Amino acid sequence: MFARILLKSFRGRDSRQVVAFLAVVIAAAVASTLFTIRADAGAKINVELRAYGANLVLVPAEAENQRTLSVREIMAYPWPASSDTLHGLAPVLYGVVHLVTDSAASTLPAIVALGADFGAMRRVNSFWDIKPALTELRENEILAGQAAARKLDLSIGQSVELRTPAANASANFRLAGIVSTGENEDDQIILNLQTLQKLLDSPDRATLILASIKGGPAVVEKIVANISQRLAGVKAKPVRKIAESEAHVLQILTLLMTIVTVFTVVVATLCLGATMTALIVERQQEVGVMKALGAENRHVARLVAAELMLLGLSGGVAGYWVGLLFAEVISKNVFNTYAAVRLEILPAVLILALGISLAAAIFPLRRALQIEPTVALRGE
Amino acid sequence: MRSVILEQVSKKYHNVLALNGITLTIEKNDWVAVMGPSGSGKSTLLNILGGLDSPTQGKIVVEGNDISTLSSKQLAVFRREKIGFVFQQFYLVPYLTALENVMLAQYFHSMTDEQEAVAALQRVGLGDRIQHLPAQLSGGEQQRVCIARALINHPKLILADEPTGNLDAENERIVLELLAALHREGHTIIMVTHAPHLGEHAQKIVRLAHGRLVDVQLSAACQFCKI
Repeated sequence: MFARILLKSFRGRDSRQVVAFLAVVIAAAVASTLFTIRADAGAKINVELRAYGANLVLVPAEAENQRTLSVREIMAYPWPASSDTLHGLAPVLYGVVHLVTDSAASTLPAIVALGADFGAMRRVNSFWDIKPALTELRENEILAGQAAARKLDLSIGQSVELRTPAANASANFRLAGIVSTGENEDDQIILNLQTLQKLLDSPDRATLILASIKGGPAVVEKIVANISQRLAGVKAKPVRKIAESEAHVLQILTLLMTIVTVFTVVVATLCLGATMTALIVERQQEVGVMKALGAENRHVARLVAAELMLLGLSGGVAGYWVGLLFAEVISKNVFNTYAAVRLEILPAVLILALGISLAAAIFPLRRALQIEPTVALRGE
Repeated sequence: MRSVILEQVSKKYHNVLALNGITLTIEKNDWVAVMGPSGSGKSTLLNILGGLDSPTQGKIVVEGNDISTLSSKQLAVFRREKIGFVFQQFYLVPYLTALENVMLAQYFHSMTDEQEAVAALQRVGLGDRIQHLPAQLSGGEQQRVCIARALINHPKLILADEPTGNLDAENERIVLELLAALHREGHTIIMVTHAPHLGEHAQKIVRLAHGRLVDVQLSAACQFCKI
């Protein structure tokens, strides 16, 4: 009978009940949206920041009297196998070469050459703007930084020759594209790592190794510590600016989320409490009849509390899905991917919605228990 | 055998004395009409007898219980165990069907018994209206649901406050017949009314004025009950 009264009472309500329901739905939806975005934000921000380049650089240790690293040795290090952690790893060799073109003047310009595996470099530095878009860089092809190309009057498709300073080695290349990075690479030429190693007679050598690690600053720090132990002569330097901005963004997001959730919960609780109190005043005759029929305060309290719990549960479930919808829209607009449907957030949202209902129950419960049957039946 | 004993019962609301030293005895299986002009204290007396309100002064014994000393929780138990209320405004719960309104009284009393509730509604001639909501019933039908709800827990005492006040002549007749039947079965009925022709259906007429007991008379005519 209790369930019958509860369900019929819950179903048969007017616009006040709708307002109360909406208050819970809105609070639950805000919480659901923020929980979903927060749960995904770490990974999403990580991916966004990975586009801004390496967050870990390996260089020769200063104590060791060497200026380059062994690529084979670095690659033999047990890097995380999963692409979920290791986004990209790019050995880079720098050298100075002279560039010879058909129209070159008598003095050959010296230029910094950057040797790297094209695919690996693109993964680490996905913000590089290369024209035309290339999927690979062949052994006989080079890219020119946009400033270098302008200074040396280079154009795509042009043949160039690169010579070592001592003129003991040279090779011919075709300019396959112009690269714009906004950084030092704009003044450099870029070619295949092994080709530059051969040209400079530095097999297996790299000036530095760029690594792009996913998982946040903690993961990067762990790898740094491990490399320091296992690779002698190698210094691992986290790019703190990127690692820290990731932590900072998450920190701000969490703070913002907490403030918005607390604010919404407080407003929803007050709204629900006021609406349900007004509803109890409206229903005081009904409560009076129940008391006249022998209902004790515990019967009335149980009914009011159960109605609010039902409101909390149904509002929480509806709010979870509405919030998820908002999270998807926000995620698509901000991160360009949809947020994962996280059912594990549902219990948290339900607990929050029930908490709101319980906190809001204080006002209407107090009002309901004060109702005297004689006053209620007189309609006062 | 006495059903109700009132000794010097007074009730004061702020500065208004609604009942002033009422002393009255009602025997078991009496049908008493409480009459008087508006403001004479009829409804206050009924509320106090039903444990809906407490007296400011005096002693009230109903069916062996001194209700003037009971706590609000004990009064709730007293109401569901001993009293059946019939209200002028019916006071049915609007979102519950006729059957559920009757079962509501069972629920607060002890356990619900749908068959018994259906039988109570059949008894008041509403066997074909059990699934109707109050809004789908006429005034007379709503009052009959109210009577079925009042008798479902087999109370000793039925308190009826202007039970036909909102009804047409035909429904008034039906309700009075039902009350007469309950009286014949042994229930004690106390009915508030200000209509003299209704008072004549009772065995005794208790007259109040300005909160005081004016007199107690045997009624001149009783169509449906035996004196």
